[in-house]
Amino acid sequence: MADSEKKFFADLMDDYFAECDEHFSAVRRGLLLLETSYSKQVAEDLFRSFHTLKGLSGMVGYSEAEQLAHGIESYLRALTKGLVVLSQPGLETLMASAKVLEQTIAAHRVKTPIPDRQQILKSLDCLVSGQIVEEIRSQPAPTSTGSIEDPPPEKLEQIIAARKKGAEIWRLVFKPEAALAERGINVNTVRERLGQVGEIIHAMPKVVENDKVVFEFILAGPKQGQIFESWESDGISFEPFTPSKPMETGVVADTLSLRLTPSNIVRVELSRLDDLMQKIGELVIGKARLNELLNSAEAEIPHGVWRNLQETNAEMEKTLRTLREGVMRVRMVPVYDLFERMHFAVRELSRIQKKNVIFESFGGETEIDKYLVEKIMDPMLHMVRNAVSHGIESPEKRAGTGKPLEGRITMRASAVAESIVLEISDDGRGIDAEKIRSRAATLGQIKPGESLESMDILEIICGSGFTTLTRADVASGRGVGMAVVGKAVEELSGSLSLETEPGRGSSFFIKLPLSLALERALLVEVCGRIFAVPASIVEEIVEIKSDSVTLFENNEIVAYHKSVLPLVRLSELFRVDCDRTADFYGLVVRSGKNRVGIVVDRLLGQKEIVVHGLSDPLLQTPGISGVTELGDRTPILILDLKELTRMRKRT
Amino acid sequence: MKVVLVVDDSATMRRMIVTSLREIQDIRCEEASNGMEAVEKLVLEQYDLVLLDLNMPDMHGLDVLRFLQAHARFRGIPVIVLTTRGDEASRVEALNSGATAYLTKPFSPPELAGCVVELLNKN
Amino acid sequence: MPENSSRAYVVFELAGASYAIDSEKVMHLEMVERVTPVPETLPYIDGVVFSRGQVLPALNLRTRFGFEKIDYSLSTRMIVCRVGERVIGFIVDSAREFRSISDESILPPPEDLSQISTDYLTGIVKLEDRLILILDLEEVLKPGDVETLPSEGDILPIASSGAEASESRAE
Repeated sequence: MADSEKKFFADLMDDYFAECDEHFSAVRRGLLLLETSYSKQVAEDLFRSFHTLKGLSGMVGYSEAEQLAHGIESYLRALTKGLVVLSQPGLETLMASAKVLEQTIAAHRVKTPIPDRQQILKSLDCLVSGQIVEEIRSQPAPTSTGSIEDPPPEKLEQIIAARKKGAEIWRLVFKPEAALAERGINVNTVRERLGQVGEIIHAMPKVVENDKVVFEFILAGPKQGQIFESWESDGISFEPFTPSKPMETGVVADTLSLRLTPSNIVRVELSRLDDLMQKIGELVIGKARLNELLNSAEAEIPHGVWRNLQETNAEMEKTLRTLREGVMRVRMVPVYDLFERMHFAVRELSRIQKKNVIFESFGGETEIDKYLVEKIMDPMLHMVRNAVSHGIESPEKRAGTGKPLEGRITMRASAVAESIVLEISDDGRGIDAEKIRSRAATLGQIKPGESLESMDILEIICGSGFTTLTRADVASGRGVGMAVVGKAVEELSGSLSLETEPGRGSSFFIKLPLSLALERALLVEVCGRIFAVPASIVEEIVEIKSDSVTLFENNEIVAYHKSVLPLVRLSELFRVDCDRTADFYGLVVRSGKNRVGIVVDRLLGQKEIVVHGLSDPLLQTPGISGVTELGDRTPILILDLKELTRMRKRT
Repeated sequence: MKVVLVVDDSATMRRMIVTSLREIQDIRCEEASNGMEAVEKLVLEQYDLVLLDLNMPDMHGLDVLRFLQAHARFRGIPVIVLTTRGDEASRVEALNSGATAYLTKPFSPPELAGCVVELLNKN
Repeated sequence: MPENSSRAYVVFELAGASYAIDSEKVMHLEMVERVTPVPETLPYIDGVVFSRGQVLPALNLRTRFGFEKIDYSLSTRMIVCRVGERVIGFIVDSAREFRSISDESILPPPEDLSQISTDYLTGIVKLEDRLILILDLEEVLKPGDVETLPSEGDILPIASSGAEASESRAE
């Protein structure tokens, strides 16, 4: 294949997968709605989603996905035509098949074996069989009723419902013109505009005065029409809506109207936003240099000139900050989607395990960097599955201890300063410290008799190699352990904490910094080399005189706040030669429940740095999390202090 | 230069179609992602052919088709509708509503190009 | 494309011998400055480097192939290459030439040199009385012991065949 063809194909597949993702989001929403109550509208929307997925998959040659989507679509079609009624097994089969379809498409994306579909296809078949859906019969398409220019009956019901809620109904007419289109005013943007002031009940093209085409909108909107007055110049006229036929005050249909998907969304590749953030980071650094140069130039240029330069510089600084915040905001998406995935997983798992579990979430509108969503999804799914499998007890057991029969899993998201905190709580059996401790002792990770606090428990269960499950469980994949979660959180420069009470439940908190690309760092010198240390991890900096250091069981320690602070020397961890200086500094960092002091020779200052990853395997080293530079292209290594303290424990 | 309007709510499909038609001489493609936008484009510019997906939210392809057939201004433009396997009802309905031809997904780029060229040459 | 299929190569010098890399893999050449060593990495990784805004490993080919390590000089160059999805900088003694080499003039590397690994070569070509060894970058990147490569004196003249392997000088 020629390169241009390869690229076209790759871009096309990106489009395909992205579009499938969007459809699956909509599918999940729809299925959850169907679970609370059946609605024809929702079933129709679901049908359309699977119909589209079928067509697309066929076009890119994924016949397995096409076949499966076809099966699902057939069932949904039968539902919407009233040939079958939605039953509990039917709903379960729908959900299961949606999942298998998603997995099938995902399997193509990551090139893993395609899951078996025979079982699910059979189930779908059973649901529809016995209903002979006469497709060959010419039937009118779902949305047409008589003349296409009158609002169909369902819409009239919607109008009645909206009026009941206190909205006023308007008829707006938009006449497209080339001049307007040039100004960016076209039917899509007009529709958006209307969507912002109310709910569009109906939209259709109409021909008036024999050959002019206009678009008519029926809008449930504000009580007063003043807002529309200024729109005349944009080709939009308005008047209160009066139906041409008398409206029957019939039964109000149950309108679970999912919002019209706005067509004003631009799909952007995350890598482009990464590049933007990178460039902004470089701007920040360049700006910092400029500041320094300006300061040193003060003596050399006329004061008036210098003051003007400073003012302009300050303005640029403000603009730069706004720009940076703006780009960061572009990358932000609400965590709601993440919560929905968890919701889905909880429902499925609790059904399989025959446990009754309620899922609730708060703070779904909190926004999080899209990159973080991708990275935290799997670890969170893992924790949620753990909560259902190992946290929530069986209904019998719960009844025995006087707990409500349904278990409860709560997820919360909140923004705290420059971080987001995600909480997963369950009201299950809590984490049994005793079990952890004895297992850890068996594995040699702690000394027998050592007592454990919540933070220590977390460290132990996140440590690789730790699992409380038997070998069989590990083989089935469930024992992979919290190590994966711990690692993922660390890679995102986040922190994981745990509160648990045996018998009452557990809460896990994941704290993630919102800004990944830029970080506040301390610059330090160790053994003649300059390193950067993320400032957020350093709790305190202490000056240490070498004669105040004592040796205890082969560890160097100093007195610290009525306790002791063990010291960690990078020269030992990195095996570099180093002269020990007479006096030095200790960067105080948390290690589990304790604190540790990382020895540095000199402090060089604080700076905002752009963090670059060290992705190539040749460069990967424990204790180094990335690299940055200060404006002159000399790479400065970024230390991973948490990992360094852990390395020290092992030596 | 002949101008073709590609109407489909799926960006992936539009990309595939436009690229498949790139090889044809003297042809230019424009895109619309929904029925109303398609009608607007047909009002504001001249087109020689419309490729219309049937299964679109908000305004179904069949409604777009009927609108076009109902008005003298648009009646003469050939329309190829894109249907999916097993959707016989819509296909028949489309032909009854004035579609010039139909193509069933999945179709290959040469199939699409061949159909387009044939229809463009007929006029 | 020229009639006989031939490609452009970047030709460089390393420990007295000439080597070539397919120029399609080469992104650009640079002088070597500002390399920061990274602790606990393989001995032939001199460190990490920023090159045109990108972070990449600087791999010292001398060390990689077991030659004596020397200080960088004004002629030392880093050849930044794309190998698969990775971007790596290879440090060599000098790199000044672009040559066009036809596919048919490339011969398979002589196999009967036992202690010398011809694993790292995709071929060998004679160009105006010079022997140029064409490097297989993927092999170079595979982790392995620090190996030896033939230097010019070790290789048998191409014309003769069936001759015994000469001994390599391990350096």
